[in-house]
Amino acid sequence: MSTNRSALNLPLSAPANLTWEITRECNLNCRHCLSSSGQETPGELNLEECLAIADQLATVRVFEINFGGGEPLLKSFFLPLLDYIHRRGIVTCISTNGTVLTDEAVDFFTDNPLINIQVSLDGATPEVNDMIRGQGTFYRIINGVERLAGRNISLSINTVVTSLNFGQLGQLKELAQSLGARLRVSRFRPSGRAKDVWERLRLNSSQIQELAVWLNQDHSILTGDSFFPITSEDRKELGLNMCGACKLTCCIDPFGSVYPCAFLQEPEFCAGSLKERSFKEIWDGAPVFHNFRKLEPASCRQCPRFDTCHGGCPAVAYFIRKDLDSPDPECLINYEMVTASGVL
Amino acid sequence: MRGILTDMIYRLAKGVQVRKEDWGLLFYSQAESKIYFVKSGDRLHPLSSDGTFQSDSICCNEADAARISSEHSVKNLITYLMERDILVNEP
Repeated sequence: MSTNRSALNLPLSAPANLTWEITRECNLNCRHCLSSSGQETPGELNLEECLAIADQLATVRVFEINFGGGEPLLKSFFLPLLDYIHRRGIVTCISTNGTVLTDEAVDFFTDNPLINIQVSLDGATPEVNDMIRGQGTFYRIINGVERLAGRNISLSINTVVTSLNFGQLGQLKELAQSLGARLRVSRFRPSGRAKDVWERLRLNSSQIQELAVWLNQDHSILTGDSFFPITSEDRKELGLNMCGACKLTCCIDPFGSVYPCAFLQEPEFCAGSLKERSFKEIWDGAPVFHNFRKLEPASCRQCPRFDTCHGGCPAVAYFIRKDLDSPDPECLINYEMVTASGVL
Repeated sequence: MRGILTDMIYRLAKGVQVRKEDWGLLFYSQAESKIYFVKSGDRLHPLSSDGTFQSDSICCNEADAARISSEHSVKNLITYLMERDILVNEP
């Protein structure tokens, strides 16, 4: 979602959108999974609990829910839950690995105006993609995209940009277009399993700068909320250009706990449980959220880009420096300052 | 004093939702995946039960001088929202 910095000072009665990780279960074992997904975990919300949460989100007029996981389509009641949410007028975006699409799911998505599908693909060739998502996944994912294409579904391919696939971004865009999809790129963040491969797969400074130039030259590439630390002024209307955690968005995990965002699902950032409190109570009153809304890295305030990025991504800053009150380490300006001082 | 607003009727464009906040209206455009913060206070709201509103009914309770100023603001606001496909004219 896009907006502008001054608007984020206006308090919202509820998030405009939120991420709902509906399950930890996944049939893949991607190296960079932000949720460390694998097996379904005991204690995940059942359908009745999910419907009650959906009712609360509809009451406070959340506009859009971005479903992820794990793999959402592995949740047995996922389609009925989607249908229930759509009947309340909420738009949904589903992040799927594309390998477990049933005929029922494809039919459900076809011609559905309230559905956006993002299929994850991390390379334009099997050699690159499968290094991240697992042996043999490339062709299974492409098959999934082909099953969704041409069915009047808002469709995009989502790539987490790493040092492995950085050289294939142009090919990925062409591949997406050939399949009738748009390309969306996401930022690699050291959350979940990604912490273990962060140093190996992160972009270096020159790659970050090259990525900034590429994104700023091609406004057809979707970025969601990912790359605001490097976004140019003329691109800032195309995607969320600052951290919207606790202001525009938040995250619900498979167990009903609420967090500032999907990348900060750590115990110290848990704002509350929907099994114990209402969503509105958590959104309005959680101390974690109040603190996040005041977050403003002191070292960033004098930066000429502060009004553009407002300190960058707190999740990346926290996992690298264990300090929310520190600037985004991958901000273009900060990278030069920190490497010069030898901290990184 | 004669107002500047016409009897135009407006409604939300397809794929657009709106929510009332204390400071005004928050619009959501699904097609653009964009939200618009409109600091309109209590103007342009509530929409009537059929999802429309008439511009000349917005300021009818204000004194003439304030009404003209308000009408200018509302007219500019409506124009801004129509240019961005947030509002459409009712035929």
